[in-house]
Amino acid sequence: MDVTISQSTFERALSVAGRAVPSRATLPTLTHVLLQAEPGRLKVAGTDLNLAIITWEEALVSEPGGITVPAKPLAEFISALPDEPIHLRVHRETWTLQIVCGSYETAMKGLDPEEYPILPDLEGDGFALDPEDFRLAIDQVTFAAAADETRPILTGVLIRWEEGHGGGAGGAAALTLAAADGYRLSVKTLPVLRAPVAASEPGSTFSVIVPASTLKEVGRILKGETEPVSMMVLRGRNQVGFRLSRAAVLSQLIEGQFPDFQAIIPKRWETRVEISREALWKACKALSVFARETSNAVRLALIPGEGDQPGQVLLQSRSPEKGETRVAIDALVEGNRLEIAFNVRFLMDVLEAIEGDWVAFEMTTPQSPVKVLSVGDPSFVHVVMPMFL
Amino acid sequence: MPIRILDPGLVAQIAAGEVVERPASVVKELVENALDAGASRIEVEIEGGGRRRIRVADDGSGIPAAEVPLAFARHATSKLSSVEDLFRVTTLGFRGEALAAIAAVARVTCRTRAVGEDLGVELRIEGGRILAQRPLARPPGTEMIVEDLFFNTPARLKFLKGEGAERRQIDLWITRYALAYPHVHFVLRHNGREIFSLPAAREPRHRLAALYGAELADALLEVSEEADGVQVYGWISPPGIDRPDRQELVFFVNGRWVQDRMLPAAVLQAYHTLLPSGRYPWVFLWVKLPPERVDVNVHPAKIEVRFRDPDGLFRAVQRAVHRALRESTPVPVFQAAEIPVRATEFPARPVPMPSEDLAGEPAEERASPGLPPLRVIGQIQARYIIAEGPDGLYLLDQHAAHERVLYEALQAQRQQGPLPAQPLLQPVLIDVLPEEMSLLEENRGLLEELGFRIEPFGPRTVRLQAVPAVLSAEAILSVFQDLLLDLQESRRPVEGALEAQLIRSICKRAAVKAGQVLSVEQMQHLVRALERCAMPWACPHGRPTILRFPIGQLARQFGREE
Repeated sequence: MDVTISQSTFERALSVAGRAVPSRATLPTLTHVLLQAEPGRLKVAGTDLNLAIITWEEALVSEPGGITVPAKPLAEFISALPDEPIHLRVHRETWTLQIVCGSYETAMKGLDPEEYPILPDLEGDGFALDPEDFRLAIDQVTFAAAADETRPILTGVLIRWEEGHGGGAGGAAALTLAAADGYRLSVKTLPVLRAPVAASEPGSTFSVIVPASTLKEVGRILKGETEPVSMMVLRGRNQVGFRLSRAAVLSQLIEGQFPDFQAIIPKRWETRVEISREALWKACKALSVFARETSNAVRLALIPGEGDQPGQVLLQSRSPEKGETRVAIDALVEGNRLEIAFNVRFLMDVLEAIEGDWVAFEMTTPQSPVKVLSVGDPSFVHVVMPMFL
Repeated sequence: MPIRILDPGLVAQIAAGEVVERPASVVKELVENALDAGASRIEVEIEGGGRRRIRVADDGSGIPAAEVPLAFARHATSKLSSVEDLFRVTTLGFRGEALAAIAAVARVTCRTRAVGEDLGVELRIEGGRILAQRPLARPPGTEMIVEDLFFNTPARLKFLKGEGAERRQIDLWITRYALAYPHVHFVLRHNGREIFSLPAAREPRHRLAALYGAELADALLEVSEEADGVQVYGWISPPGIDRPDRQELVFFVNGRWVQDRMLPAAVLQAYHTLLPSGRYPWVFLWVKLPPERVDVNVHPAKIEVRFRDPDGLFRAVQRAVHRALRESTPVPVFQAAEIPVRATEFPARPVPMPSEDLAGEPAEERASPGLPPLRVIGQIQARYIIAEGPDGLYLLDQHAAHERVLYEALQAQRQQGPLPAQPLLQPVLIDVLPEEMSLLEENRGLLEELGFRIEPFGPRTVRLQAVPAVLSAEAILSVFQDLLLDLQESRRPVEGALEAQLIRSICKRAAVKAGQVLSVEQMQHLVRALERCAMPWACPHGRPTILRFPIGQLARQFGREE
């Protein structure tokens, strides 16, 4: 292998692929990154066998070939170099990577790339997704997934396809993404630019559970992406892949049955509030300081307007030591007056995930699940369980 | 069948069942007799897991020839003569049942010579009947050979476990006695192969090393405490060395190995927060108390005991273990540098043991010394917060400090009513064991007050509907497992401690963990919250939350003239 690549490009590639490299592993090659010179580009890949991130960067390739080298020391060394062309050359007899950059020169011991796990190619037909829509969808669902490894299914995001069940704007083809951690649920419909041929047959359906952590990585790489992203399920391998213009993410799927989330979404309401997202978020932020020692509880009183009096939402947090804090916000309140309590962290999470200026809450009783919507955006539904005080 | 008085042989066989349950109980009784006879060397030879042959030979005081036949009569003992004596038992055996019981269900050969007699005697007994008796020349001491155990009680034979299981049980007993009597040379052989030969050791620690390896023995912390006539000493493992079961929670009461619920509970409480859940320490503890304060006559096998003052003993053991653990905290390490400072000068600030720690009462509302306003400097090891106060440098343990903050907040909330609960969108179904089910049911009211909503859902399944709101960021199933563990631990003689225990566990789980990187804002918030606590100096388990290093101290250590 003989490659010349710019320092900043190489540094970026290493930081992207490095996110899949485990810091400790029983298999020594797993703590390495794979460098593979292909015509006109350098491929950099990392994997912990559950997640693989592959990225390609433009490079001047004089001789194809590859090597694996310890990921962390390489990334640290490269980031310390000046932004000048880096020349990489592999000595196959000793599997040594020689790195020359300006007046800097080093040699790193590596391993035969044949010993590195084989990462399947992600060529083929997939769901084409708009990168910005997809990134937003990831942000809106992954926060509701569980961090709790004892219930693995809930650490994943369900991605479901039902041919003919559009759900997207104007009934366009769409995927449904859902995540739940036991206390809350986020559901998002994501328009599909083009469905693969296999999924376009009438009645075709599938659903997979993708680790939320994988999607967060995809979301991170999607920043700045302009080309459509292709998502493909590798059925035989129980894997899912995401192909971007200069990167690919491959991940194991989580096996099991995702809870029936449709049954959890409330179908009716007794009290409905429309409120400024920003005003409510600011109030929550202020109250959270005082709610921290009392289980993060905030009480909300929802008071419908009367005559020319506008409706109001009164927020209050109470701490045995620090007393009470109150905030009142004008809002559109329909239906019955209601008092209800929430974990303020749950409220802030959903308010941060929603994009629109107005957010709606639909509730029935203080003990029942609450539906949270972004006003004017039918693609997102959130359900949160109130707290019992 | 007409009612009849049982014939004495049958009575003896039935009674034997209480003492001689399995080969290991024969070994135990014989070894105890040898120890009571003052042996300095005891050899135990086992064949066929003890079913075929058990031989226990000692160099003790022996049995006088004239008394040998009597030794095998029921309720014959040299160790007691009146009821008063029963309440002051200092020997291991005393009930006078053992030899008779063994002789009733096996073929026994006894060879013995008493110290001071010229000639020994050999006696052969089978199924309780003396077959032969003859004089014999041998050194002083006793050799007992028990063969074909349960040959005349086939029903019991049927219930014996396999050779391996019986062998393990015997090994367990011999190991325990070898620990309790380090000055006695123990030899153990199975089927002719020597398992160990432990020469007399000067102190138990050497015996521990011989049995468990020097590495473990060196790592163990010493426990030594005496108060109020109760002496607690021994060795325990430091945090970081643990095992997955309770097998090595070993207790000796007045030299006798006992299996008791309260002693392990006391120890585990002292370890609370120091061990990951589901892990247990190595504990070898000797408890010495005046014989009239313990009743060993609870069970014929004498492995259960009853204490006159269980609560007092619980506290004594817990305190002793606690102190040993606390003294192994990093403060001494800090001083280990070549600094001419005596340990006592470092203000690991004597932490007043909170009374609620043991009795479960809320902290008494007294004027606490309180903390001065502190300025957060930073975090080290993602574990400790460094802060500056007007009078020196402060070091906080972030987990312990947060536990204290949460504990006081939850206690305050509890006084106003139930703790806030966070219900689940969909209940989680969890399978439990029948005894866990009954524990959950018994305590349902209390659990609900604390935020746990758990309903039976079928005979072996519960529906978990809500958890305490402070735990909503934690793994639900682990929270539930912790709860079960606490409920099981709670079956101990200290009353009313369950709620306090559960609240402590909730705090432990909800608190910031060691290893969690905190922002400056979070650290400031934690320090402010701790400043407001009534008892900021210790976490709810009694570990220190904060250490102070006075300015003068620092100056002295840096060799500054002030």
